[in-house]
Amino acid sequence: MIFNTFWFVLFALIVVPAYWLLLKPQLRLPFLAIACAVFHYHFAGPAGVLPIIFIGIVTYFCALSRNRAACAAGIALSVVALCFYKYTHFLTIEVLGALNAGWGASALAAAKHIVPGAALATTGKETFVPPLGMSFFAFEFVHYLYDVRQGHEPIRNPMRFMLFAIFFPSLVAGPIKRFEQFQPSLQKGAESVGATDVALGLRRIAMGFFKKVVIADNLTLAIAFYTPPADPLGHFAALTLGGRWAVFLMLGTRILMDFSGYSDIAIGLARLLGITLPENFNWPYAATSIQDFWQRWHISLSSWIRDYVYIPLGGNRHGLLRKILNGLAAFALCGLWHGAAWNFVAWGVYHGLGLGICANYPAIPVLGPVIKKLLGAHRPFCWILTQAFVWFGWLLFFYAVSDAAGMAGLLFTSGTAP
Amino acid sequence: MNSTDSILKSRPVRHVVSLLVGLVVGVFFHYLLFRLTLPVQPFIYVAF
Amino acid sequence: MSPGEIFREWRSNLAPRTVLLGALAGFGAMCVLGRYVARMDYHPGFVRFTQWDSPESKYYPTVNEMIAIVRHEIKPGQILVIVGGNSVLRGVGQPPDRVWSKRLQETLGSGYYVVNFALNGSPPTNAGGVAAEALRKEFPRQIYIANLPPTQMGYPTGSEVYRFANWEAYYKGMLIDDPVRNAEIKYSHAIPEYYNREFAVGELKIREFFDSLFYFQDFWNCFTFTRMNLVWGAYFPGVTGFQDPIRFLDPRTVYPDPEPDSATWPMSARFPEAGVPGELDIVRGVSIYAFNKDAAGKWQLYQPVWDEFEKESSAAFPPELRKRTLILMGYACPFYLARLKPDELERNDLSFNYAAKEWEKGGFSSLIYGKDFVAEDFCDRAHMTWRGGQKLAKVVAVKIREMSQKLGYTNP
Repeated sequence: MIFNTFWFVLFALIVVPAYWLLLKPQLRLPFLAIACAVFHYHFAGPAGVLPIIFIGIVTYFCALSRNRAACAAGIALSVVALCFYKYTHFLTIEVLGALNAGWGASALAAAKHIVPGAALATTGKETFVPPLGMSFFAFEFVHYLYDVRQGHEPIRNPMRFMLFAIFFPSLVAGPIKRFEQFQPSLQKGAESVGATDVALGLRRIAMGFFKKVVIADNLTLAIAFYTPPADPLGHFAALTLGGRWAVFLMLGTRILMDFSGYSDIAIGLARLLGITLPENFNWPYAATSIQDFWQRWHISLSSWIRDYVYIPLGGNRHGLLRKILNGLAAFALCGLWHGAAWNFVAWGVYHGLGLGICANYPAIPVLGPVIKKLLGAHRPFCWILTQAFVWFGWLLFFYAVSDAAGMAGLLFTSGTAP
Repeated sequence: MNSTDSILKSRPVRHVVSLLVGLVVGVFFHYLLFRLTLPVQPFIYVAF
Repeated sequence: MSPGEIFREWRSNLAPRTVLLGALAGFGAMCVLGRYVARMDYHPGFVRFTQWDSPESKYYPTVNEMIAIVRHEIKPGQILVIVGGNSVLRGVGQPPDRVWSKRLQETLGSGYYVVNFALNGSPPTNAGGVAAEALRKEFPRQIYIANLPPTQMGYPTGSEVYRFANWEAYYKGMLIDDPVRNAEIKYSHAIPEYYNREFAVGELKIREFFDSLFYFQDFWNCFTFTRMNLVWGAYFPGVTGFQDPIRFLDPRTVYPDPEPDSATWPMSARFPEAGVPGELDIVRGVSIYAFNKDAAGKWQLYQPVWDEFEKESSAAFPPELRKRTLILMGYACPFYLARLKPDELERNDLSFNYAAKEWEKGGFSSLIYGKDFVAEDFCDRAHMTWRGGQKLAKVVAVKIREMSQKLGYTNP
């Protein structure tokens, strides 16, 4: 990953003190913009930078025009680019190919000619190498154009737009920024970064690295050792019952530590510059309902999905059935955003279903209010139910659907078959 | 006001705790440099 | 107040400047401690590197560690003999109390101090080679032993796994500033097979540059080895991991040298029939590019291979290091040699003999061994049992005494 490289440490040791020493905001912001460009180029390379520059320029001018059609076209460009780079193989081979293998292969072959310079992955399945942070760029550009289209004031200064687009702390893995919160924070940071910011930033970075390097990275290796990608189910079955539960607990711990650790580092780095990024995790394993969970887990993503997928689809404004379907669609996309494979879609739908039930079960005649009353009186039970749902969901997140089902079964038997 | 409040507001205690927190952070950053990009993945020797 | 509230209250009441001061003080103290620890020998009774203190388990022994071992163990007046090279010289297949380098020490006697810094898969320019170069001024009466097949040399910074120590020594000013070697390093970083590693090499160089300032490798290696294991991620079933979670944090020093006594293995286990074709390919590969048959069917030198070898070997070792470097070239186990055709055996002999001449021409010493060994001396194609190791020690001791006289370390 990027923050745990020495090049980044050297970069931060030069850029951050230099930013502090440039006392004037008029100097700090341009310097930061240059530093972000250098960071982006170093880690993304020319193949990763050029598409973002192109999409960024189009987004900037579409927003400036304040033309609704232009903004919609800009949104479409970001979405198409994301789909092209990240989902070409999935859409052609997995989706279209499921109908007819020949169509899938032809579509993939044709796709390779669309962007001649697009880098192809050299290992594993035939797919494009997405530009670094493509998912985050796409989401931030879509949010920006959508809000401008709704009447919000666009960012006129190109340097400030550039800083919004390629702000190095959040460029790689979020949190997903909202431009109307980021701009004033950027200005405030440039004007008044102080000792408190630095102390808080350093503490946050230390916490993030502890979670990522000490806990998550080692759990990742352990998980890979006990359930290697070639045959995770077979190896899982060979473990004792205690070993299987240990691996199960490692999965949930690892993903929280990994994700939240990285967010902590990003938030801490921004804080070193006096800039506040949105919080991304809020003790998600303390959630007592699925709704509560999604207000604590990857908050910037879940709120984005709510504002730019669920609500535009109609949200809860068109009756119960539409509400549930909108939720399923939103969460399926949320799952797909995490990875271009069916198990991610399954995980998203799993959570969509869970959320649908959680949000609407009181509406079930007779039983609904009774269950609600019972659950309300037994919060620990709600917590257990919620966490069981979430933690079993991680099996779907990490493994193919059939393997995940097998592993879930193996958690309740000491035999070698579910 | 309970005893915890009074301890927290005491300047010497505040600074001692702050110093300790800082020391832990500094030591951890030193360890972090050690753990960053260790040269290669475990090199599991295979007889050649 | 609840514990969570107390925690949040404490956190928000911290004095920021004091926290920063503490962070700087903490980091600075670790740097000072690192420099102090770098001079400590925390490998008492060191015999050789094992799985537990080598990159096989993500432990990267520093040059300072090797230097400290030598400084602590060597007695005044002793000639330093550093064994480098790969698993063959590390004594894979030989238990720690019967490893060949111990026998070499016994044979040479108290006028010498022999230390085994070989690491599995290590070329001559890594590991022990770096330590020997770093100690050249402090212990000018030194001999460095490594091993290679004929025609092979490789890059001056050696293999990807072990070149961290080369850059550590470079940034700590321990190495000779040799322009030919520097040019070869720069060149090797530009060729295609290195290109994909450029990022990794760049990362390594920055890491070692930082280590020359902050000494984190030495401090945390010492902590991991002697106090508590802080480097996880290498799981050996039955030893570390969930089978015994407490041991996960055990200091590395508690783990014994796990090398088995291969002399007890039956011959069928040492030389399985199924593996013979593959092993024979490797044996042939030692000489296959070095000589070609001419029209009359006689083996002729393939000059480009030998030119490349000459270039690489002279770039890898600065001139002042060559005369004290002994390169061992070992014949493969007779079990496999007996299965070669006569002309392949002839080519094999030619390669070894010509390589020995090339080494001597370059100012090195070399020694061919194993031609008169028997199959029982080996536990596989290249590694020896302790019996083979004893034979090796005997012939190497003779060569070392000869070199010591030639170099003026001892009187005739």
